[in-house]
Amino acid sequence: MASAPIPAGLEVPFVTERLRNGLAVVVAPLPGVPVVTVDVTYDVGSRVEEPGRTGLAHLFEHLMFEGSERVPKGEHARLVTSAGGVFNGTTTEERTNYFATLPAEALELGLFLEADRMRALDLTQENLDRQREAVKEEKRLRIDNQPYGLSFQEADSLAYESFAYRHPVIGSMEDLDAASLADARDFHRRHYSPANALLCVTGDVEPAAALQAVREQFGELPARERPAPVEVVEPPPAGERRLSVTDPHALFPALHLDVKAPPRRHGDLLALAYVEKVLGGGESGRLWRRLVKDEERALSLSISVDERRGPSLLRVFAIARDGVGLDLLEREIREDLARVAGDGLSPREMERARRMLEADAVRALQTSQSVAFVLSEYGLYDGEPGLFRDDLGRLLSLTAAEVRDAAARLLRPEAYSVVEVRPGAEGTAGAEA
Amino acid sequence: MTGGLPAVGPPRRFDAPRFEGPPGTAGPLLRAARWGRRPVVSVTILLPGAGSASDPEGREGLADLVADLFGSGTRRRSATAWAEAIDDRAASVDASAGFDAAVARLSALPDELDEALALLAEALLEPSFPPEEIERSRGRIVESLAEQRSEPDFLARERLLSELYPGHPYGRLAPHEESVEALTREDVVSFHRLGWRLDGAIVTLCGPRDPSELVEAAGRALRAAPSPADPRAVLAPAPPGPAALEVHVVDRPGSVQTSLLFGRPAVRRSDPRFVAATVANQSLGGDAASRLFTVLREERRLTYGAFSGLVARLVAGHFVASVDCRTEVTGEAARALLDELSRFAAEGPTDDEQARAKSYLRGTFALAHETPGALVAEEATRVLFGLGEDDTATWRERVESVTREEARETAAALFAPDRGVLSAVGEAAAIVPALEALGPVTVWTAAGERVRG
Repeated sequence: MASAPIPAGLEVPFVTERLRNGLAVVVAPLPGVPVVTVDVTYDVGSRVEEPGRTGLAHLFEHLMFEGSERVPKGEHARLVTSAGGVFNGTTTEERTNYFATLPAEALELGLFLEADRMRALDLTQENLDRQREAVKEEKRLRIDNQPYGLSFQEADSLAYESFAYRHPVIGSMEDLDAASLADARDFHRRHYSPANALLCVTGDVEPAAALQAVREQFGELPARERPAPVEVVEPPPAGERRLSVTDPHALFPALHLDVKAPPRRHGDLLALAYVEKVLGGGESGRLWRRLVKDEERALSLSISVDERRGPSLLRVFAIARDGVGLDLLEREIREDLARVAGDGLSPREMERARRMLEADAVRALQTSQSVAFVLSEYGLYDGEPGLFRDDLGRLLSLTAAEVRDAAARLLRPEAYSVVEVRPGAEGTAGAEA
Repeated sequence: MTGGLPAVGPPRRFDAPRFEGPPGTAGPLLRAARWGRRPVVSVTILLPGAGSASDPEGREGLADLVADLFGSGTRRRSATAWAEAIDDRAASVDASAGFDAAVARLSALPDELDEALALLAEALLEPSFPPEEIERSRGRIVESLAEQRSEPDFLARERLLSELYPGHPYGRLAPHEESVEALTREDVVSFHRLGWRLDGAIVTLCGPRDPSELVEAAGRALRAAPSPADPRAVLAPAPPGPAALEVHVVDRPGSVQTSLLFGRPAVRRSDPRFVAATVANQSLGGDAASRLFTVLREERRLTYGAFSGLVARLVAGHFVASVDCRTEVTGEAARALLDELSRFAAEGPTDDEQARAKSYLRGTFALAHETPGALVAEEATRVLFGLGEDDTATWRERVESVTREEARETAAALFAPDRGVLSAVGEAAAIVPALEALGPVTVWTAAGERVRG
């Protein structure tokens, strides 16, 4: 694939450095508003977890706010907010990140807090017990007590072979209960080393001064071995998978249709972004328009590409209208996917999707935090933050023939996994591989 | 890794971009500012007569229906053709009805701004309201309402508002299905004619372009047609709300958690006490270093999160605090929440809490003004609520001037749980006995039928 010129206004100048202890550093100046984002991303997500130890990566995210050698418990939140900053952490299958966006004059404070907990986290039984309870409440809040909440976990378990992606990021109640202090200490030692992380600083900073501040806070952290990389590789899809579940909180039946796809940055996965836009994007997404707006088959329908370093998923999730059978809903979705696989997209659809993808890229680079997330992803996974621009160029230069060929390769029933969700008492109604 | 806690330097100067525009006469009020790191222009249009507070009696849900029909057919184009035209320009558009106004939002690339604004104007001013689109939209809204009433936080808010503002439009988070089903095309046309009009509309634009160019672009697209006078009554003041603490339970069988929401009347947005209330609330429950989070999650391990906030609308407002907890500890968590509110109302913030709240609110000012989208939303609501032109520019000084005593007095007046509503959504059979210790309990179904009390 040839690369297209990048649209104007998407310049993101940055400098990089690797400290002697292995920490990768990216600094991107974004003048105009005096704020700075400090974002540390560790190369540890639920993909590293083993059976019986699920939920540890995410539980660990909570433990990172429990205090460290020079930051007493509760002080992290108090120091960041007192400085006029906001903060959070998130855990995915792929990575765990910790970020604060602060007034630019509080850069050193943000760096200090991250360096101290990378070096000397305060891991105690009391902290572990407290955060274990918080995570269990989080699981009840976000998943167990929500309509369709558990069905997304069922869909992942069905779509993937590998344990790394089959189990939920939040883990199971049993595994959370079983996590010991020794597990947590071992986890920090293995995964929370400078060499296993990337620090990204974006905002109203002068790069040389920011790099100097980074060296002062992180430079003397001892080097530790980086854990062996985890590869998630799966055999090619060998047949459609189906599962039927019941959901006590759901009012209407719903359907997940997920399509196994290549890893992030693969050309075929870039092509799926066009399919996602044409079928479900903007105001005109044709599958969404037909099923939700015109034919009244679905109450809602979303299409998204869940990009991963291992196999990704094209996800379709639809809630049926009252009285519409899941078989009918499924048939309509399958027919449209088959049509794209057979005919590709029209020239007008291609052009529309290209413009929408370009505009998405512009909108995604508006804040210091969103820029930090983009640079961190490419910096950590690929060792080169600037590759985001290459990928954008590759994406925008895809031809209709390339998208059609990719769709023909990917949108095959043997790569589908389908979960039917029906209202009713909890449980799995029946499964077939 | 050298030294201790680094000092935070003196604040850097930051002035939020100023909006400017011609003085308002007939037609929409146009205000624009120049800011943006990327080539994107954000536009907000607020229509003060088109919010759900303007729903005629017996026609509840009309504002939502008209907003949902935005873009569903114009005099020039079908719904699909309009949608494709928007996407061909890579514009992003949405419309919805709030309580005090309807809002239409646009985000467009600068080189497509004129055409995107023209499409926005077409949907706003020239809808054709095809009968089949109305029929579909009505059906979708009715089923979406049923779906929303399976979600615990929606149910908790719906019950809270309905008890805080009985008989007032602010008490209706969403209409009932029967009311939506009864709406006709005539209702839609009439509501649109009176509410979706440019005289009185507030239009704000922001992007990396000269403000006068932005104002001109909006002026070209949004030419006001003569509108009839709006005969509808001005929104009545809100009722005083409960005189004591009332407990309302919405039964949601199968729940593994209880969603608890306490609310009581507070201040409307233009009330001078709003600033002191914001400062006091920050100490109490504004973020993860505030008192509610610290006590209920970190010390007592009752919840994943505990927060409080102010909801300030045009003619009234309320204070709200929330906790989600597992079913077994519902009584304990509710008691703990109310105790913390009582303590804070009696004692106010400590010196440390007060200092932290103020520096948080001052410090996050720049962050809150990082994107054109945030700026246009803030400016439009400033005008809607009748706040002064310098409201944004003076925010940090006004926050700074709030004394601890003022914060305490405001907390005592606005946060005390001696009156108000505790709304609890969960497994009624399991949680009602525990909640009865707090006061008489009324039990409701998710559909809004009273089953006890």
